[in-house]
Amino acid sequence: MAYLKMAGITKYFPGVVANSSVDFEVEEGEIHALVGENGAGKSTLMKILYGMEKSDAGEIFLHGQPVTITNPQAAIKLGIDMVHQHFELVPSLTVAENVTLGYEPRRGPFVDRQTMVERVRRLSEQFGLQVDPGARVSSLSVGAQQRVEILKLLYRDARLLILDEPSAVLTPQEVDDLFEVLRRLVAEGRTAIFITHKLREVMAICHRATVLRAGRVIGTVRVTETQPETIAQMMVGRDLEMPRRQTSHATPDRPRLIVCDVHAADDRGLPALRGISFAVNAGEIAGLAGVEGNGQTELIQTLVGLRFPERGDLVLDGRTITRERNRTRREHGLAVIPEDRNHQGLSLPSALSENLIATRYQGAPFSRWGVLVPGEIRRFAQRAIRDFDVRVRGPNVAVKTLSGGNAQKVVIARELAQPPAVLIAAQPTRGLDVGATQFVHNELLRLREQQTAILLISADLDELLALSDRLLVIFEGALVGELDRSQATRERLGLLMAGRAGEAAPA
Amino acid sequence: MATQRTPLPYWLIAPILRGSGDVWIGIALWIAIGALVTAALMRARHRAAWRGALLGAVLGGVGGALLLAPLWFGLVSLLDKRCAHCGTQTRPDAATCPRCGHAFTESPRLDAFVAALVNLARVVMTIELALLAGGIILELSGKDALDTYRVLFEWGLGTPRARANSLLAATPIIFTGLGTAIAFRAGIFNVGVEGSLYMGALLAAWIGFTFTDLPALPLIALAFVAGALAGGLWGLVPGYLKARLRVDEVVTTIMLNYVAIEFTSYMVQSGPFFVPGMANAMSKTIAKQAQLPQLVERSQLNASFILALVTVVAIMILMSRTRLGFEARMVGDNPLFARWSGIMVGRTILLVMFVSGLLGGLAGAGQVLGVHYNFTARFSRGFGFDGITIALLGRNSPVGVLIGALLFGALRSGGTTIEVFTDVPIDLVDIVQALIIFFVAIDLNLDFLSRRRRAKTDRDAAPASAAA
Repeated sequence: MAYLKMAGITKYFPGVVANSSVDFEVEEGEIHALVGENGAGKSTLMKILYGMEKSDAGEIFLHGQPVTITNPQAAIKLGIDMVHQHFELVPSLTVAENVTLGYEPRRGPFVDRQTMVERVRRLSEQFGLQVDPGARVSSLSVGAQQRVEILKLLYRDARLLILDEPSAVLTPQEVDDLFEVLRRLVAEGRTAIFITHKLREVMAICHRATVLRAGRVIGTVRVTETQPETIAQMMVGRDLEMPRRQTSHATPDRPRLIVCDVHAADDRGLPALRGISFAVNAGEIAGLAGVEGNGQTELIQTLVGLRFPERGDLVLDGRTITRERNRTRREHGLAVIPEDRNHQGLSLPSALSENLIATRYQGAPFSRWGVLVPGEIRRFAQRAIRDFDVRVRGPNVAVKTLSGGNAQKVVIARELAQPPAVLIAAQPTRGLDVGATQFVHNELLRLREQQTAILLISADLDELLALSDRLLVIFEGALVGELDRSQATRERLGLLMAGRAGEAAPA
Repeated sequence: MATQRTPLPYWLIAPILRGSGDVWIGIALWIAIGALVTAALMRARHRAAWRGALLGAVLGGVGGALLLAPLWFGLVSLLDKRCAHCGTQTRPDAATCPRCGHAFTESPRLDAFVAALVNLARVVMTIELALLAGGIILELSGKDALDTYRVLFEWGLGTPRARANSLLAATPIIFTGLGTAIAFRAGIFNVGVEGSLYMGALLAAWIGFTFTDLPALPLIALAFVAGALAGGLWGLVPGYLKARLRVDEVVTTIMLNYVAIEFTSYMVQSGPFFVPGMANAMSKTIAKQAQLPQLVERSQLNASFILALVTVVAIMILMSRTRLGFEARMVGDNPLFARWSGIMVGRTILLVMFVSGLLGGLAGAGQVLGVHYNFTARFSRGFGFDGITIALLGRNSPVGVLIGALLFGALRSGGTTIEVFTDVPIDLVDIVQALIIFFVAIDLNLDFLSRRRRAKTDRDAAPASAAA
């Protein structure tokens, strides 16, 4: 009998189905990977298990017994505990205080500090989690903080540990240490659920993997019997009618965007881009494939001008823009469809017309001498609403009232109102329905005909294969492959994305 | 009592206060207004049948009779929209029905009208509830609440002179309210307008008693400009710290307030502006021609009130029609989006903080040139902090700030005389003011009710989109 069984879990959020009759089973003593794209419903499922969210339908069984988990305390009582992606530690307290928080050993009404430190020390030695119980959490590295989080779970005697993207914040060395700890835990009879979208880690440590996509279970596989590219396909595959392949419009000798040996660090100061070089020609769509978290976000930010490279150069239409700011780059013909539509791409409380002019309000005809020209702005907005078929009552409506597809049309209307020299399109169809996806694809192809250089970054392999003239594959911050469309297949892309470039070479 | 009381036609404001005039006319008037508005709103928003509208009329009438008519406007306008197509209830600001996608056909003009009504109701409701709660406190402590409020209204609004004094009290807080509001609108929690006010006042006073040879107009203009600049530059300090070094502005502005207050006190107590032989800590008196002309006899209401009104219009134009205003609104709505769109967020913060401080400086200069005629240490009775309340009350809109400041002015000016005529301590005004802040903070007006309802509609709507 399965140790944990979640049956028919369904959860709705406004406008989306986060989980749709998900069945999920975990055996005792295994490390079970839960994989999927961002927004596939992994975190929601685990939050339901941990009692942070209430499911709209479905049941949870532990050792075959139905259980109801209404809050995290109930989950902890059942031996289910979770390490969150963003740690929940009190920085000003010591390690021992954090670990025992809420469950302090007492002597009479007072906290028995000696026993507390002693227990935490014993626990940390037992599982090889090296931390000084007396150290303040604020002075610890991220890896050590994570060890504190795991200690906290062990102190509460968790039998089932949920780790939400535990490696996302760690250096490779720290990841190896984490794996060592996990192996020791399962050897001891505990069970772990490992949420991730990094395939290398799934292959390295997990016994089985369950793949979620768009809130549904695609399948559960035994890792030893599976190739990583199979899992990659399960993660990103999408049944969609893709636009028909068209003849190339590329002008090979006219690169409009050149990226030359770019190195950049991520927010933690760790290297995220390690010498990226490529060029995108006029009239070409270059697709960037890769498992999420391999440097795509940093590359987009570097291209847009919100992150400056440590080394390397960016050239737009023959002009070096490495040190230029976002606004200047836009004036030179850069356009961006950002990854995170609702935060980077739109200002939800603002009016539609304000969203539309946010990148071009600085000059005529929208403003003169620092004063806005409302008539021009309204005319522009009305034209954009008509041209891009935005279903909306008028230009003064707040964008937050629009549906996902309509909202993305607003982003596209803004960015493509004048054909740009270079377009960075990051996940342009994420979360969109079929119709809206088609619309976005057609817009990209239309732009390609007008000699725009397009860099398409997508987690959807089918989309990349259908639209791209050329495919680049990014892995751990470096380009590991460049394929012409004729050579590109899902299998080869899958191998490259999984970091196995050697096997992907044509035989 | 020595001074004559001037009874007001209370029935105009609130029938419950009775007083002179025909109470019944007042009650009938409010019943009519309440019934009409409620019925109309029931019909337009709720798509209620005539029976519903009739019910609304009755409820509105009862509400009106109890002086809570504006409260009814607010509550009724909160009522959900109902989709004409499938009958689903949805939140009042929805554009389409979440279940069947049917687009609501209300004209934008009606929407704008309802929005304005809701906003007006919000301000009035907040103050009414505060007065109501204050009244209950008064009754509980054994005072005559109705009589206290009569005194408050009489001395806030009763005579031409009282009205002038209310406007006088409103003048500085119009400036500080505007200054706070534009910073809030840009997402900057600037509570340092008080500091700018002191810096502006000091510099205006210095100009006023130094350049005594200048004729009136250039001298006054120079004093205002210098005061405004001093306030603006003072605002730039926390602005720079926030924009370039990401230092939290709440902490820096609070601390810089103390710096400004103590620095200006030092200047007149023992510093360069110290005047030997003066008992109080105040500077020399400014030149006669620099003193602003008074607008009404026997009141200190002066030309700076007119400047305040002009400033309201100017800030309205600045925020809605200029590039800086657009940038400020975008940064306030979504700073991340602003960055991605190429808006220079740091520069916008600096400019907004400069303008915010500028308005604080104007407030200080206006008080020096129009009321005190010198710089007195610690002369401000929390004008900067009243500005915060007013900005919150007026939801950061210039007109809202003006309305809020006028109400506060009346409250303050009427409140000072409460102790003379009743045994109620002047602290009552502070209590009412605190209650207003309290009710603004809980924001019962829209969010409280609609948030709960939103959670409910979202749950109802989800299965439909799942099926689609």
